[in-house]
Amino acid sequence: MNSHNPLDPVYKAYAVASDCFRVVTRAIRNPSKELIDRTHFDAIDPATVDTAVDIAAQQAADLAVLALFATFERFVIEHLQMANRLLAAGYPQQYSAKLAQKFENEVEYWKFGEVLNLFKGEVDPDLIGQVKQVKQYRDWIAHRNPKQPPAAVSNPEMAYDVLTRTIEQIQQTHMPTAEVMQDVAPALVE
Amino acid sequence: MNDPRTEGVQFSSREYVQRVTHFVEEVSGWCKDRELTVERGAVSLREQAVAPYEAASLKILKDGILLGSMVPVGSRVIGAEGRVDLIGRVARHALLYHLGNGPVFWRQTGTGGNAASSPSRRIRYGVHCDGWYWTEATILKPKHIDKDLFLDLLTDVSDYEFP
Repeated sequence: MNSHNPLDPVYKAYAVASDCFRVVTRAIRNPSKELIDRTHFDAIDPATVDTAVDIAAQQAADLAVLALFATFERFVIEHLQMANRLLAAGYPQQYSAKLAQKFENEVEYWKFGEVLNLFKGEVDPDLIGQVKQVKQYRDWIAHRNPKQPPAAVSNPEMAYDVLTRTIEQIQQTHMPTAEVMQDVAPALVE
Repeated sequence: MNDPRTEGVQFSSREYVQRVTHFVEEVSGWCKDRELTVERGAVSLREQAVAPYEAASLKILKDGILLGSMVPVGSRVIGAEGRVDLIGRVARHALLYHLGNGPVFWRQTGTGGNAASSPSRRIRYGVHCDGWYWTEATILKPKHIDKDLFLDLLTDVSDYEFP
């Protein structure tokens, strides 16, 4: 697992929330006044507690997928914006500087699927396909249409796994080599 | 550009139904060995671009009390070839079907005259053969589901401790 994975805080928060649901389910079996006082469970029909917790757990899982993908998008965009430096170091200088500025301004508005395609070649295309499917699932959660099932289902564990492996491959293959840095460094200094 | 709906995932509901049926039969045997009773059933599934179909499900009981259910979720699953959920009163686990031998892809390194390609394994870490796997939430290494692991998972979702 990546030691600098930007997805970790989101995933850990989801794991803690999942355990909270588990603890609640156990606690509700033998409810004490002290435990459920001034909570939602104080007024709820005990027979419907399991259903209420199930629904809440599913909502939490869906929100975790949304948050994981949002964090992943930010990582990819920020990674692309690093490429701005390489563009700025090109020749002729004024043209390159304008190109780099245009790139930085507009990259946030590119279609994310097209952004992902930039990584084909260095990142396993099958993995990129899975990331696009996670995005489709994220979109389905955000605009849920009960008449239309999702193209493919996911859960926070799978989303975290797919997105983490993609981040790792991007980090492994997109670290500039010493040769590239040597070429670019003089331009960066200017 | 490939359509993301077909990119990277092999869809086959018929294969999925066969895999689920075989898995349910295997689990039924494990449960009976531990003096649990099972009730077979079926669940209707609706997935995009596939005609509605049914897949086997299973209820697992001890002395008439439901400990857990195996519920098929679908053949169209991100990062796997199908999913069945083991659902109990306190938790649920996603059980995923993985293929042991994925194709190798070629990773491009360098640019221009320095461009080169090197093979990279697509096989998932921890997946050594076709089958049903459970992925632990922290380490994310898939573990092949055998009788002992399944009974541990059943305890985890139901809080039922085997004597």
